[in-house]
Amino acid sequence: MGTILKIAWRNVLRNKRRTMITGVVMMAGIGLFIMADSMLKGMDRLTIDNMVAYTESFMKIRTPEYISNLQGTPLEHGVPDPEAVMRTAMASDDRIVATAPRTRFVANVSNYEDALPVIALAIDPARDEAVFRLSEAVVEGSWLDSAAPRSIVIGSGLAAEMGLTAGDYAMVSASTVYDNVNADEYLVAGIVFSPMPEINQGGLFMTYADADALLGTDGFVSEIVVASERMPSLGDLLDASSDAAARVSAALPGLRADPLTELAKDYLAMRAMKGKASYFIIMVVLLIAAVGIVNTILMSVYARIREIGVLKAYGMPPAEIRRLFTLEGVIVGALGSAAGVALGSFLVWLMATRGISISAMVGDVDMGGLPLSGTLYGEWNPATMAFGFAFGIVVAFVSARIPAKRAARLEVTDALRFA
Amino acid sequence: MSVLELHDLTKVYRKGESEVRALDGVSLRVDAGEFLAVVGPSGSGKTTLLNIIGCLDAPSSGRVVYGGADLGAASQKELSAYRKDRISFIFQSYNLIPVLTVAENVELPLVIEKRHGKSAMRAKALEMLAAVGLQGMENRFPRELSGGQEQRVAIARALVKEPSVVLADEPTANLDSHTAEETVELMRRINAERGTTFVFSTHDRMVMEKAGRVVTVRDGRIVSDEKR
Amino acid sequence: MKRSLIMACALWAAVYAWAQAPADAPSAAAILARIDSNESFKSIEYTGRMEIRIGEEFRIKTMRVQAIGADKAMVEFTNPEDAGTRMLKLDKDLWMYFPKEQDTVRISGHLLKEGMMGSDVSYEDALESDELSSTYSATVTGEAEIGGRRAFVVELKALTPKAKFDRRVMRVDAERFVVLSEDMYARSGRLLKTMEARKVERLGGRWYPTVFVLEDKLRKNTSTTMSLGSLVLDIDLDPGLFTRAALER
Ligand SMILES: Nc1ncnc2c1ncn2[C@@H]1O[C@H](COP(=O)(O)OP(=O)(O)OP(=O)(O)O)[C@@H](O)[C@H]1O
Ligand SMILES: [Mg+2]
Repeated sequence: MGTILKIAWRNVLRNKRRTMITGVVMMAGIGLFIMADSMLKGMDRLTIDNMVAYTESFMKIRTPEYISNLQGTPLEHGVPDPEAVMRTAMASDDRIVATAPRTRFVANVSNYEDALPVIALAIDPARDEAVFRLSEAVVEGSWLDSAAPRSIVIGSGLAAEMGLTAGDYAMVSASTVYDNVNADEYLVAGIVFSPMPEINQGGLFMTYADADALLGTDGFVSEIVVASERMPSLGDLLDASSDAAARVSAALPGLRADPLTELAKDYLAMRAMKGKASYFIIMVVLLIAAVGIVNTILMSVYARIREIGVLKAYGMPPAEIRRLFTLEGVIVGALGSAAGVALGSFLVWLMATRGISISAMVGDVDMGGLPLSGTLYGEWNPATMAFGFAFGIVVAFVSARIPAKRAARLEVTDALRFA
Repeated sequence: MSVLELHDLTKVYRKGESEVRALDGVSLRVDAGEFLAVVGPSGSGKTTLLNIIGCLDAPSSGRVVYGGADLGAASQKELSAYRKDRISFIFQSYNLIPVLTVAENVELPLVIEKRHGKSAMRAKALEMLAAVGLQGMENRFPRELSGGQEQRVAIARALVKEPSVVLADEPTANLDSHTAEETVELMRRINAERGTTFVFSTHDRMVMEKAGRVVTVRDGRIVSDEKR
Repeated sequence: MKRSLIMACALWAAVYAWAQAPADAPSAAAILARIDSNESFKSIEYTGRMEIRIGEEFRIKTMRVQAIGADKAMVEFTNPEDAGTRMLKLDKDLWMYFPKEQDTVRISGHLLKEGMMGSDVSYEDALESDELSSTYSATVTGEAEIGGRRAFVVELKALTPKAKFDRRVMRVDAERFVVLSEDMYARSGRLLKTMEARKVERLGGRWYPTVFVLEDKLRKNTSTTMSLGSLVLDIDLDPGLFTRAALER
């Protein structure tokens, strides 16, 4: 085996050009795969972070009845005694740093010309600020103030569509708890532009005082939102959320705390699909690399037919001849894969330290309703690197066997005739 | 005592419709320690004969008997195993492995044989290199040698496993006449000192002259067999 | 219990209103009772025509409506664009069937208060019987002339927060006891909607507005004229009509 390895290794080094070409293809493929994966993971992180910061929070505490009627945004099945619930939630997990009540209802916003349906949220401005980053997203006017009655904050897209600017008045109508319509005029105190398209296009926020007056409710709270400390990675965040939600649920009989895995379910499912797409990319690139390896080894076989003849004449069995050439392919593959991992690591390092500004990259293009904006940072993923490396070697092994078998099958007299 | 016997060998190559009788009823007995040259015009069947003697190829009919064992019905695998143990080759174009050093090239048959340990192999290789006059060259690569030196490495490689027969198809054809003479002298000396049997083909009159026995082939038949 | 309380309140309100009213006028409560006997129904069937005006644009929707009380209704649109589209309302649930897609969609309850097919007429307006006496207290605040007819001005105040409107001001035909025009207000005091009857017809023993204009006051520049044809009230309708099977037939 030692001599076989020696022959294979030295041949790889000897045919630098051939080795380089195949190695570079593999390097590019595996490097790009690692980068794409890191970018996708980074996008996940950014997307989930945005969801946490603007709509979903770390977890949501609601009643099971409310959850089963979620689509109808009912003004019933609310959280009973929200103050006590918030205290219990805070006490049941150290990672929870803030809580706030929210009430979701369907409303119509009208500028007296047109009316648009929106998902409105009644909030407690000060507490909400401790959970969400909406107040930082105000681009015009100011965030809600409990002391300023009859004002609303709306999304930038909605404002643009209705021709509303901060300081204008808008009519908001909604179904009340009595199942009739109430409507009133509100000052547009502020306009928010967030990474969440749903907020920009159809977000409306008002204080609990105003919402109670409009809806005929009396401090009705449909959900409790929760903030956590910052988690180092997406995996940690999702795990912490699930774990904390389980504890909070246990501490609050009759209520259900949904973790991010549930709140961001649709996104996470879609992400799984995207992940498959990146594996498809590596397949295609490595298929090209495989063709390269087959070719490299085939060329090696043809260039060394006489050598094969000598080995066979001296009695080397076909299996060992096959091993010799397979090994050569695997060495090329291992070099290419290692270079690919190195290249991938470098690209990931670049993305992880510098970040990519999404807005600079795609401008203000709507990312298909995805809450993707801000700066994208690459995520380190050792499992992907290990996979890329191993997969490169497997591909090299499988593709080198084809020409290696051919070498093993050569007739010794035919091989020697080249003499 | 015979090393090998050939009985009424024929070898027919078929190329579509036409048939070539490369060997046509060849019988030959080679004794241990012989230094035998096979001569004849181009296309007469020398290489075919040597291939069959070397168990690289099977005859169309006839028997090959090595030390009393009939190899006529042997499979490729058995022939390969037999070669590994008993037979060595020297080629016209040396055929050294370019990525291996001189010593590693000489060791190669032992590596394939898998019978000796690492240091034993190296010792044998160095001993053979000394025997062919290449001591101190063991760490060179083939491309750093002259043609004559390369062929001497090939001879050392052929002898390292102490085979019963060394077959050489035109071993001097690529060498200039002076080097050719030196090479054949070396083979002759080893034959004399170690009693190794050599069977080689040649076109070269000078080389033929050094042989202890000359078998002339023409159109696949032995037309003369002279001992000197 | 709650119901009887409401009834008691209504009665008290009626007595109170009667005490306040001008001598020759009937009491406010009596007016409400007369309106109810004219305009509320156990069941209804008509072919409707909505002329929706949004700014300068007009859209016409025609339909056939069958409804029982306030909780069962079936509508089938007959104008070319929507032909075959059917709607089933069962209490607070609404389903729409689209024949082209052969698909039934459940519509959120919030929509019941929205304009039907983009009009100013809500589903409630078009499909539900509106019983006034039990829901509102009334006072007669004066008289007016509407389209050459003498009318009482009656102000209704909701007895319960569940009433469709918190406050209503009606001009009621002094002879026929049909609402000739009406302003409807939200709890906030905002004017939500206005109604103006354009044609009142006699149907058996009662008067019923068959052409009326509704305006959603949360939008500017829109109005919908609703015309009811082949109107029949209080006939027996097959309950089998108001099922999912009938919707998707
Ligand atoms: N694989 C083969 N297929 C068909 N014919 C062959 C094959 N090998 C040899 N021959 C034919 O057999 C005959 C003998 O060939 P061989 O190579 O043994 O001659 P040779 O004496 O070695 O000639 P040279 O001196 O040119 O090397 C020739 O006619 C050759 O064309
Ligand atoms: Mg020949």
